[in-house]
This record gives sequence, C-alpha cells and structure tokens, in this order.
Amino acid sequence: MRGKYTSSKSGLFLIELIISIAFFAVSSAICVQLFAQAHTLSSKSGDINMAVTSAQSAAEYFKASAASLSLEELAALMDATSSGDSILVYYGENWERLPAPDSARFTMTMTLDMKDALAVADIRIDDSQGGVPLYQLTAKKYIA
Amino acid sequence: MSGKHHTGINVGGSSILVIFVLLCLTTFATLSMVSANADYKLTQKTVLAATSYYNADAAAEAILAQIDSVLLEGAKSGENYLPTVEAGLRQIEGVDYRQDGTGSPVVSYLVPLNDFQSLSVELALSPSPATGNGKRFSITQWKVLNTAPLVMGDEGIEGLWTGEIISG
Amino acid sequence: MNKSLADGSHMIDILFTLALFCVFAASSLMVVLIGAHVYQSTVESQEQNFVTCTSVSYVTSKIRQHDASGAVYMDTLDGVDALVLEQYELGRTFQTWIYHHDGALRELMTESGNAGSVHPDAGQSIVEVEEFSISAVNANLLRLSARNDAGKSVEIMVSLRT
Repeated sequence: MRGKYTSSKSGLFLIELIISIAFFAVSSAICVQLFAQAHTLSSKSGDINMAVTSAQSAAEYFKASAASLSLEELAALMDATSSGDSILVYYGENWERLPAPDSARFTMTMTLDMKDALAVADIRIDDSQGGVPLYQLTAKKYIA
Repeated sequence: MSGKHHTGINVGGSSILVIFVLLCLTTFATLSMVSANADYKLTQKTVLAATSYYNADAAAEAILAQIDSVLLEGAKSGENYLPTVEAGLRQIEGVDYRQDGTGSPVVSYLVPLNDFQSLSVELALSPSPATGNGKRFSITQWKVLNTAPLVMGDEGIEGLWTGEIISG
Repeated sequence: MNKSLADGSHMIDILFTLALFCVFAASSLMVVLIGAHVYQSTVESQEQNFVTCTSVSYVTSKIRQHDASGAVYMDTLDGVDALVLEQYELGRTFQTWIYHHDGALRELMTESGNAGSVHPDAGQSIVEVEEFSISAVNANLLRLSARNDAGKSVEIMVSLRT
C-alpha cells in the first residue's frame, strides 16, 4: 500500500513532466520560428535602407555631372566600373564597397539613356540571394 | 518520509518551470516581431519618400524641357523674344510667368511630391537670347516646400498656438 | 542498481525522472537565453542602422528644402566646419547651420550676421552620432557621411540643382 502510494506520486510527476516537455517543445518551436522571422525582417529592412541610400547617391552623381561627361568619366568619378551603357557598383555583405564582383552580395546597375531630350538614368540594386531587385529608381535630367 | 524523498521536487515544479519559460519566450518573440515590423514600416516610408522625390524631380525636368523648347522657339522670332516666350509659356499648364522686382522675367512652377510636399522651381530668364552667355535661363530655385493645406476651424487656423502657456 | 528500495520502486526510476527533469530545465534555460540574445542583437543592429541612416537622410531632406542659388554653402562656426542653408522670409535672411560638435549632429538657426556671436554648443542636438562630415566634391555635389560608435559608416551624395 505504501509502495503504491509512492509509485503513483512518482508516476504523476513523470506524467506531468512529459506533458510539460510536450508544451515546451511546441511553444519553443513556434517562438524560435518567430525569432527567425523577426531577424530576417530586420536584416531585410536594413538592406533596403542601404539600397535606397546607395541608389540615391548614384542618382545624385548623375544629376550633378555635366552634360559633357562621358560614361567612363562618370564611372571614374564614382569609383566604379563601366560596361556598355551601364555603370556597375559592387557591395559586400555589410554594404562595404568592393572593387570586383567576386564576393559581392549586392550589385547596383545604372543604365544611362536619352529619351525626349531628357537624359535618363535607370538605377537598380540586385541581391545575389534574392530574385526581385531590392530597389529601383529612375532619375531624369534635362540637357539644355 | 522516504516516499517524499523519492519524488525529489514536488509535483507542480515542472508546470511552474514550463509556465515561466513560456512567458519569457512569448515576451521576447512578441517584442522582436513588433520591433522588426515597426522597422520594416519605417523602411517602407523611406522608400516611398525617395521614390516620390525622384518622380517629382523627373516631372520638373520634363516641364523644364517644355519651357526650354518655348524659349528656343522664341529665339527664332528675334525682336519679339519676350512677348513670344510669354505667350508660349502661358500655354503650359501650371507654369507661371512674371516680372520680378527688377523687371527681369521669372518663370516658376510647382510639382506635387505627395499630400504635404511640393517641388518648387524658379527660373530666371535672360531678357534676350543674345545676352546671358548663350544661356537662355538659369535655375534660381529647386526646393521642396511644405504645402500641407491649413485647416480652417471656427476661430481661424486649427491647431495654431495663440500664445497661452500650457502647463503640465 | 537493480536493488529495489523498501517500497518496491527502483533507484533507476528516481534517477531517470530526475535526469529528465534536469535535461528539461537545462534546455528550457538555453532556449530562453538564446531568445534573449537574438532580441538584444536585433535591437542593437536596428539602433545602429537608425543613427547613421536617419541622420544622413535628415540632412539630405534639409538640403533639398533649401536649394536656391547661393543658399547652400560650407562655412565654419567657431572653428567647426558646418553646412549653411539660407532662407529668405519676411524680408530677413535666416541661416540654418548644420554641424557635428561634441558627439552629436547639431542644428542652429539664426539671422544672418549673428553667426559670429554664436557658440557651437548652442545648437540643438538632432541625433547623437560618433562622426558626421559634410564635404563638397565639386561646385554642386555634396558628400554626407555618418559613422556610429560600432564603426559602421553610411555615405550619401546630394546634388544642388541651382
């Protein structure tokens, strides 16, 4: 009789422990997923912010450049490389400027064109780890 | 006596532990999500502000192109430069032509950016195409103005501080 | 280990239960600590980003609100390099001085002509940032750069259309 009493008490503890572990497992799975989502969202926000800043800088370089400036000269002013009718700027994981596309995570492409007497610069920032462009901007300037 | 010792921690200890852990985790997870969401919304606002500015800037450049084509047309009319230009500019919607204090022609226009901001552009025209080093105009202003409409209430502008000291 | 105690239960039962409880306690503690660490690092990185990006975009907005001929230029206020933004209202010219002094980005608005008698401490602190520099690349291109105390710096270019 005394044995039954103590073993049932131990059994109760064990059952309670097992149920607690089940609750803990479910809740920690949900919470860890929330943490991961929050972290992803936060780093995505930071990346978009930096992308907007970089795109604006490129647009301002374009707007401030004289009409007589060639694509190569503008690329040299921006410390970037030019290919065809585009200027390319490479950024690493933490948005530091990289000279070559080797380990670049983000790429900014500025394509210059002329449309209706306006010089047009199409700026696009791509993430090597994502499908859609991070940010796109179009700047226009009237060449008198 | 030895029965109590067998179970060690009493029944309910693990429940307390799991409730405590659940509370901590839920608090941290909720705080993280709320904070990340707020940051994302702020980022979206930044994106919208930047895109609106450059859209307005592009529209202002397009209007500038229109104005310059009027000036180029006017240059062909020789003596009648300013009247031709004035007539042409009056035809462009939103563009205002006036003479400033010293009698020089000034062209101005406003491009809306969003509900409460506009890009205000002012150009000083050279009185004849021959002067001004061949430059038909110079941009004297290209700034973003706060153009939120003032709300008129019963006693004048709503929300305007009239000078009384508010304590608290 | 196989000897049974007086009441018929085995040592291994107690040990197993206790061990399971300890494992549960340890892992729950670990998850809580990990959660706290993730939250702390997320908030810290958000704040660091905020200090640099916001200060830079604030000055950019200010410049775009004052772009008129001769209204945006660089000057020194009591030895501190500053950006001066002029505006003409109600018949008087006002200057907004934006500079970095004493660990913060500051802004000072005064009537033009009074700048000689104003001390950099009088400026209102906008945001506390380790380093903020404004430099002119050429006649109509400015470079704004902000650095936070984690060492990360953000740079933006602003062009003047007038």
